[in-house]
Amino acid sequence: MSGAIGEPVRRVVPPLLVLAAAVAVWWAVVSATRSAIFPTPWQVVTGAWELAEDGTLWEHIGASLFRVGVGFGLAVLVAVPFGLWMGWVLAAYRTFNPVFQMLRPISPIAWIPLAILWFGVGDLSPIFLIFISSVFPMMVQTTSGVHTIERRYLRAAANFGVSRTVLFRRVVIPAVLPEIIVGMRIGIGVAWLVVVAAEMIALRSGLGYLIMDSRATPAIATTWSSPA
Amino acid sequence: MIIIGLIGLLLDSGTRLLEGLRPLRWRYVR
Repeated sequence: MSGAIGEPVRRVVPPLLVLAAAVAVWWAVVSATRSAIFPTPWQVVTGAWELAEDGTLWEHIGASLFRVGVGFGLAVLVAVPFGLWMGWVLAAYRTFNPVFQMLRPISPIAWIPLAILWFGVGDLSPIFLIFISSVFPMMVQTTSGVHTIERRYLRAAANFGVSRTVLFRRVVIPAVLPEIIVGMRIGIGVAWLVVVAAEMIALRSGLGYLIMDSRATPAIATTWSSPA
Repeated sequence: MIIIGLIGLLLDSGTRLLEGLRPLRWRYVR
């Protein structure tokens, strides 16, 4: 196989084979052991279908996405300008970096009791948790992006005698954008991890809640699909 | 859980789409 058709096939077929093999093994093992706690893949599909049909699934997905959207959006609004500033102004870096490096390794789970205390059990708690867990990776990534700009870009711009403001706007920001996007990818990943954990503990809606809720019912297949 | 994984994948792909924005292209096509 070669040429235009061969390339997409080579890209799509191997992961599909792995997926199909995993489902086949899952199905075979569950059927062979007649397990009471593991549903078959088909039971998971029908479980998810039921939830999707009565609208519960979309409600919970919507609730989770709303929290991630707001928390992550706020984190981007804070982290990107602050990260650029810390990268560009040495004094700002020296002043704030130690504090952020200390706050950054605190587990988002450890913030949960404080979040509940401060914001109650509504939407604000998970939004705060998402914000606090995704803001630091993005800030660090943006700052280090500014620090690792190739010197020749800055020197080339300096040769044209541009002001510091123009240099920042025309050279620094475009040069750092790829790092900012990497930071956003890390941030949205963390945000999605955290929203599920937060909903398991504090809330009555969202995918995390749905998992915990279905765990307590006989509909164990639900837990696997969306658990649905 | 499978749905959570799938949505996470979609969110990541959505963020990656930003890499195609015009001000960024110069960096990748170099």
